[in-house]
Amino acid sequence: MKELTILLLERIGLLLVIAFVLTRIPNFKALLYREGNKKITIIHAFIFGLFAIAGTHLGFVFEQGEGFRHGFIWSVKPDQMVISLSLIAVVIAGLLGGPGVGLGAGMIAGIHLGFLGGVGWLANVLVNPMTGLLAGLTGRFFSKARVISPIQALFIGVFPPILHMQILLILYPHHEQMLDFVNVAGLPLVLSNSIAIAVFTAMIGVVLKEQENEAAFATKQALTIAEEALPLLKSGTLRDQADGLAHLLFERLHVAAISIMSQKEVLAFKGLGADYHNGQLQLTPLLKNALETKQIQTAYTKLELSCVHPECPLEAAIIIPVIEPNDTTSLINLYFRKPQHIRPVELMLAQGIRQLISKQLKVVASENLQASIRDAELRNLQAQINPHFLFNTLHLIATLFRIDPNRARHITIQLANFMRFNLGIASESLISLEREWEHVKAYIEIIQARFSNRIHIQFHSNRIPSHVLIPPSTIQPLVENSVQHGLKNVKENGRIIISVQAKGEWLEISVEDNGIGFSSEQIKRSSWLSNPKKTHQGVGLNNVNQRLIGLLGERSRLHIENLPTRGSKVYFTIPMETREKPT
Amino acid sequence: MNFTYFLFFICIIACALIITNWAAERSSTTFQFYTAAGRLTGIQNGMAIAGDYISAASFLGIVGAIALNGYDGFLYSLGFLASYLVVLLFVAEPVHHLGKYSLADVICTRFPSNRTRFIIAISSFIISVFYMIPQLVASGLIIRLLLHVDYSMSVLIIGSLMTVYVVFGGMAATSWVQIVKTILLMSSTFLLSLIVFSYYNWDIRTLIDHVKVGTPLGDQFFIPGHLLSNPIEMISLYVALILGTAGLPHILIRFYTVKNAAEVRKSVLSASWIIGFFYLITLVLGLGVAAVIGYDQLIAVDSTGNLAAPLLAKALGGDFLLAFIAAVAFTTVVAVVAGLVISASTAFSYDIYHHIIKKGKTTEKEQLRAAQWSALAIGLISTLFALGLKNSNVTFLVSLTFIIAASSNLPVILLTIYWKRFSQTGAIIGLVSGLVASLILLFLGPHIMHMENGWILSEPIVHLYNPGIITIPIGFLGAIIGSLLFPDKKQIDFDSFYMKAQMGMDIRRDNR
Repeated sequence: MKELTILLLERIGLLLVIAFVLTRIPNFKALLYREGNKKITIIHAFIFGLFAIAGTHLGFVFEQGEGFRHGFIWSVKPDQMVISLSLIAVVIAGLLGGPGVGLGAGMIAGIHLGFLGGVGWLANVLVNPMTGLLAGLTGRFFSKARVISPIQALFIGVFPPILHMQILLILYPHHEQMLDFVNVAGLPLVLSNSIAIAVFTAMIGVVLKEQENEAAFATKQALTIAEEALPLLKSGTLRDQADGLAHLLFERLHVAAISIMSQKEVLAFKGLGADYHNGQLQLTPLLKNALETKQIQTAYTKLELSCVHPECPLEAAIIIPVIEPNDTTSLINLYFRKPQHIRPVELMLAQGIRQLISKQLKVVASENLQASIRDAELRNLQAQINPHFLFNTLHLIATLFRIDPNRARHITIQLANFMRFNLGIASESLISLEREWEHVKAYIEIIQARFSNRIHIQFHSNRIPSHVLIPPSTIQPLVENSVQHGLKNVKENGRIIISVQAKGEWLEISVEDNGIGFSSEQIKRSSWLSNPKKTHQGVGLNNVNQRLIGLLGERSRLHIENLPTRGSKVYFTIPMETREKPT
Repeated sequence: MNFTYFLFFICIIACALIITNWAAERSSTTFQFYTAAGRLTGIQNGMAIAGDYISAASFLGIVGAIALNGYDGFLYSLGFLASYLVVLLFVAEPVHHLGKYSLADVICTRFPSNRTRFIIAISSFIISVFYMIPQLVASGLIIRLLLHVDYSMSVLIIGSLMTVYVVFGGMAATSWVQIVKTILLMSSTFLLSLIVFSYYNWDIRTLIDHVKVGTPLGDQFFIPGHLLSNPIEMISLYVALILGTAGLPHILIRFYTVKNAAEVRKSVLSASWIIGFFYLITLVLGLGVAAVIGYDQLIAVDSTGNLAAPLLAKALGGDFLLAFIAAVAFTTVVAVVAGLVISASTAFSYDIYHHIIKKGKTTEKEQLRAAQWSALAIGLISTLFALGLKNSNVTFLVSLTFIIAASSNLPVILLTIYWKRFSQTGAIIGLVSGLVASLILLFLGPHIMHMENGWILSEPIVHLYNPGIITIPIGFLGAIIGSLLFPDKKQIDFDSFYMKAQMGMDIRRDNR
């Protein structure tokens, strides 16, 4: 009995080596992930069934009078009996995959043993499926977790050989050989089986733990990336941001390539094939889908990626749409060399990055908006006490009193209006266009009076719709900009045209002058207009722009252009019907 | 049996107990200690009830009784099974609705007084101790068979081991041990019975022919009248068995471990199925023993028949099967003892310590401590008793417990739930008279007073081995007459009590 035990343990050692190698194959881990559907059950049953067959061949042959044959099992004579190790694999199948997998694997093992034949073949045929089924049910019953603990497995592993012995006794009641066999082989089988099952369960536990660690790592990764991305997202132009982000992601994630795209073009590309992936964006169905649904898309074939380059090494990709606060969507694409490289961990990571970066963008945007609003308040505060403006205007009024007291009185009232508006400005984020218009008018009258010989200001407007909403003090800075910069050096015939025109659902408001216009650098920068250097000129326009985008959306951004003749035009559109955007 | 197989035996028991440890880690509050926190499902609880109920007496004793006495042995099985009808129809649901931890809760919902609580606690205590004795006897016999150590030694070891086990495990652990034990016991006995059938080529007539050869009774084997010659004894035994279960505290507190009345019904039904099936198996095993081993050989090993099942296993499957079946029997004993200790220590720590001594002002921790101490005490007391009782068939010892339960607890429970004019004094009188009457009659009966091998060597005063037919009516009469003579001064609202008992406006909800 002792000899048999040691032999069995040796054989089980071999079996466990095979099992260990199995668990090291990356695809085996993938097997543990997916469960619940019929196909997987059948595949699992098949794999464990093969494993059980291996266990059978690693067993021995028992022959009455001659004891045990030490070789592996290849064929069995009618008076010999198989001592199979298949039950180990079958129990594991049941514990791991549930009753279905256990039964399936048991049936495969049982049928194979049935064909091998020998004494007790019927017991072998019966006990394997039964054990698989029972082990599956037991596993379900004892533990809600997917893999039960090794000690529990040890406990459960004691019983299958006992069942086997009892079935042998039921089927061969008067067989002297059988009673001998049960007494000699029963205990060693119980011992070796339960140990093997416990060790195997522990092995699977290790694999699962590795997976859990991977998941934890992915989470941590996403968080680190988000944290490091924050300073990048705050600074520079959109292209700089994209470059920085692509760089960061490429460094942090072990992917073949990274690209970041706006809706129109590839902003940055890093990694394999960087030379031909830049430039104009060709909108593949997958990208389109990602932009429309705003859901993560995965490409598992080259066809789906439809790269222009015929020998592109990238075969798979995860496409992550990132929603920016102004409702445009950018895409971050993670490229992989092989579709198998996309594991659930990567998908989880993508999900995490998408959410975190969207959040970060929102944070950055709201910080910008807050800053702009603070700026506007500050500016108006300055305007309230702007000594130059005030003194000049007072001086103007003093002069006018002698020439035209009525006009002087009118200007005084306008000054009062202007000042009063400035006082109330901080309290609301959107006001009616009518009130804004009053403000602009007051300002213009004062300016007009001051520079009556230099600047002429015109309105082009049929009618100011009263219900349209606009951020306060939006138009006045544009006029001020024209007066102080565009027409700074114009001695006479300066002209400012302010027009308000309805264009469908939208209202276009523009301020034109015939001054020096903008430098080309200013215009270029204005198309990003995120954080221009604080040159004196840019501040006012940029502040207006930020508030327009922040409060009314991307379509209301400020446009700047030079007129073909001379001078410049600054314009923006606001919606006729505004629902206030929550910030 | 050699030492290797003894290790195997130990290993299987250890396996069964490991589960208890997992469960025990979670059981720390009183509520969990007593009732497994109401988290078992109906079927699980049914298995646990079956586990509590199928004691060593049933497994070892009945197989032996059938093998020795034929039809009369089977009578015990029938009685044990039929008693579940009484439980299901009259007692199970009201007990669930009215109680929280102990049996006394049920009675005290109607008669809230410490005196009632005290007496019920005492009777629960006595019943549990009585029931525990045969379990210990059985386990002692098994150990003796396996290891050939002295009987008293094995009883001492087993008694203390089991007590320690319950002290640290609590009810959650015991519930799981019951469930595991039920599964183990059912499957192993079922397979053993299949081996018996296959031994006789699946032909029942061959089996019966061999039975007739194996037993000295011959054809008489299948006819009543060997064990109980007197029809009064037979009726008496039957009445006690059928009514007894509904008065067993360790079975009744099982109905607290499920969530609602539907689960209670489900648990009683599944328990009845399991138990019924089990007794069919024991019938086969009993016949198998008579046929395979034969009367003479059985008597030679153990005159009480208690070791019939292990001997059968050895004959059919060698030492391997013997060790396994013995381990299963042993687990059975552990499980039942655990349940009994819990019910007895609940009676002490919750009813007497918490409610009476400390007036309901104890922390859960103190109660748990008290329960553990009382579990220890109970273990010791029953071990001492078991030392003196090795020469009895354990089924027979169990039936004595049933007599006490049926005469004391049952009348009070039934009348409390169903009789409007029942009074507190009536309850106390009924309990005391039933308890005292059954104890006295047992003392004066042929178990204790016996000319040849009794504790008191004299002619018994009462000749009935089963005095249930006298004591059970005494219990009922005591309760009824007591109530009529001393009605309660202020009547409680019986209708709303009855509603609560039957419909379950669950009083336990306020206490969670």
